Amino acid sequence: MQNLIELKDLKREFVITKGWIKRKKEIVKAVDGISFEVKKGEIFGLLGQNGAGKTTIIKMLITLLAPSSGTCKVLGYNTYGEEKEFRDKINFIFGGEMGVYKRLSARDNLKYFANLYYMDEAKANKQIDKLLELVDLKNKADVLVETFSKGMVQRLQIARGLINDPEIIFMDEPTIGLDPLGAKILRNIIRKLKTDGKTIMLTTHYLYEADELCDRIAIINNGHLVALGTPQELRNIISGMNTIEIVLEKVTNETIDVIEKLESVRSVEKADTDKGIKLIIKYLEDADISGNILNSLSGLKILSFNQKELTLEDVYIKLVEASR
Amino acid sequence: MKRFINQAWLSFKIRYAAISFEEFLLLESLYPLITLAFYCILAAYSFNTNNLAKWVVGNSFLLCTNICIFALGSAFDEERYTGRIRSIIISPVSKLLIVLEKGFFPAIISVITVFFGFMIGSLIFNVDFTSINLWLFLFVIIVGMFSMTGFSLFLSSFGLITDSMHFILNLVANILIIFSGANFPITQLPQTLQVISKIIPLTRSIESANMLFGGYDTYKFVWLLLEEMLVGIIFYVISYFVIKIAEKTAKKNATLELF
Amino acid sequence: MKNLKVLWTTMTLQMKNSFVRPMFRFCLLANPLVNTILLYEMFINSGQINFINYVILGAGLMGIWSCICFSSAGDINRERWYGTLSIIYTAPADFRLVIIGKILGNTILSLITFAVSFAAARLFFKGNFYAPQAYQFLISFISMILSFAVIAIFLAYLLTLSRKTTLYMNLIEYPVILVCGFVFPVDILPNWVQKISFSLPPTWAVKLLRMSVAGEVEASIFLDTFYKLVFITGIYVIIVILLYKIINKQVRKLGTLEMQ
Repeated sequence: MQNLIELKDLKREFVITKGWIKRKKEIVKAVDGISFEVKKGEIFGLLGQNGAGKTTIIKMLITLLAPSSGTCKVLGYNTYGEEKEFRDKINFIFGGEMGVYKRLSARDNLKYFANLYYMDEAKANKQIDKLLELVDLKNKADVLVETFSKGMVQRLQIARGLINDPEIIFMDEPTIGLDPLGAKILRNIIRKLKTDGKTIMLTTHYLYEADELCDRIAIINNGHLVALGTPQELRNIISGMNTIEIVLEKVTNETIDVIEKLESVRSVEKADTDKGIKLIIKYLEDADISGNILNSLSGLKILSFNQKELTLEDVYIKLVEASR
Repeated sequence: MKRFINQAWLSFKIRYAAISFEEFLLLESLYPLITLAFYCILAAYSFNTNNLAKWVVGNSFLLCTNICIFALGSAFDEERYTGRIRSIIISPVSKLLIVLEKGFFPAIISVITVFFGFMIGSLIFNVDFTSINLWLFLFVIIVGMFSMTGFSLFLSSFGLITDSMHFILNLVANILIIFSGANFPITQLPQTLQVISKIIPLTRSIESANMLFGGYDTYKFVWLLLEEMLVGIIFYVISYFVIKIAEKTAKKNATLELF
Repeated sequence: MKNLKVLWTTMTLQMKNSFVRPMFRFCLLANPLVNTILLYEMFINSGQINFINYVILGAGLMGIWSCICFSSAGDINRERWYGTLSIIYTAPADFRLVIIGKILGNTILSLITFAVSFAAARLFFKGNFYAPQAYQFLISFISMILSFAVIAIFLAYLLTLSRKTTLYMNLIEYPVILVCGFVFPVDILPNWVQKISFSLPPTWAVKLLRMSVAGEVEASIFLDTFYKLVFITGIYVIIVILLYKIINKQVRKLGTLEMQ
């Protein structure tokens, strides 16, 4: 498959001045040598703490910022110097309620931005209608944006980001502050865009969202790439273990021995809780052992049975902490 | 009191943190001087005169508008624009105190600006100030600035109820230029418009400052200053009530938030 | 053709957006009104014949200039606040075109200041504007608009580089009114100031305007001033073209396009 986005040893530094009368200059390395590629049709997630460098990477990709050094290519063109070649094929959606003219209607906003993309009128109008429907703003199309709620402005932002039917869409925390319904609409849009063959790069703080949507994820910390892979691959980096927690009324040591000897089981811990006796069983991830465990527990009263998978959040926290 | 000065310093810092020291100097000294020069040159041309004492005095008093009207007057407006007004409104502190804190350093700077503006203006336009009592002149400035800060305080309360503060503040700044008598004698105006001159600050302090240059009647001089102080006090009292009412209206009409 | 459309839609959008802003309305309506009053009162005893002409022109010019300072120059900053600057910048339509569209829209809208100062002079002081050389006046007026637009673009570009646009746009209003002789002839300024005056297009545009309403003026002097205006404005056009090249690099190197 074709690489639509290509970063190689990408760096970006900022000079910050501090102090009022005596000024000190300080160099901040926002992005410090990052390399990865994004393939056509992929949904690619960028995860990281605030200030990790995600937004800076996106800004370099959408031709807003020049890299300090390294390669930064979109559709095979340098984002700095060859931006004219591909600006009409990309677009971006930033979270928050910026980026639209509040004193114009939703439709006028979209019309204006369509014009900036040199779209002809008929095509633009068709696209605008389609997008307004997509983001559920059709009956508010001709109302001034200043009367919109936060969520509505954000949905208009989404429509704006799709106005030129871009091949690559960059999203920087697109669901931040969106209500659950709005966030769901956006996730559905993202999935639909993928089936249309679009490539998407998004940053988010919501890990379940990244887990649910992304084909591949890059975790970034302090401007460095910490990990890269599919959500499943990332889980494997941390550990191959899954956990089952069972709460029983009572249990004998013999039963525990039996479970411990089951294939794939690595450890069994016993803990007294208010509700009963809790067994924490760790086993190799790919094995399916719940049936065997239940068998060995026959005759005992099971109060609860809980199979826990390693979440992306566990992975993320461990990786970011380890990289400090 | 210590808390007051602390808060005042913080408010001051908030306003000027975004700009560097050189830019601060440029904004608060060079630019006002150019404005002063503009009106003096205009007067020299239109009134065909070489004696610019009156205009140097009048326009140096007007120099305070930059700080008083625009900084102090927009105290609440700016907070609203940046979305901080919520936290200010719900804090237990008296709102009047907040504005006073905001005005503390600007008031001091106003006095300094006016005084130095006058000195430098005098040097540029050959105004002889050696014959006047500079201490008395400084005192007139302090009285004028007292009254000005009261007036600006009054203006700032509008920031709680309207979103057109830029319009209002600029208009008021222009009204001061016209009606304070800094640039042409008030008597030239129609009787009805002269009322405006009477109710705004600065008119009287400019008149009394001008008196220092000629032989003056002590009784009238003192009387003018007392009136100027009274104008200031009245504005302080009004603003106290207006802020109270404005806070209520703002809550009712939901004009507190930008969106 | 497609570029014309971008230009046109940007102009109309700009006019809509500007007019609803209180500050713009102030510059557009209140400012020329109060300045007409001020200038009238200051000139009434000047003994100059035709002083009402200068009052109307002066107030109108001050108004149009403040519109330029507080809108054209500040619009880039405003787009930055709205978060639309980055969108405009990364769109395939030429950024220059969008800026030109914005400034033309503003400049045309701000011609209202002349109407206001004219009406104010008429209403309050029964003063009448009198332009004996109608053609000369028309030529001066149009060249004034164009040269003001050019300087506005120049400023807008310069201010793109900084996040402190608000500060700088406050700093250029009076100096230009003073130096370019909006309300008094440049000749009365000290020599070293006049050197600055002559390097700014508005000086020549204003001179031309004042000439055209003064009464009898020799055609050769008028033309001479006109050529000077064209020449100086031309230089600014060239600067603007070069400036864009630098700016296009700088904003992306320094990252000043967005609020941070």
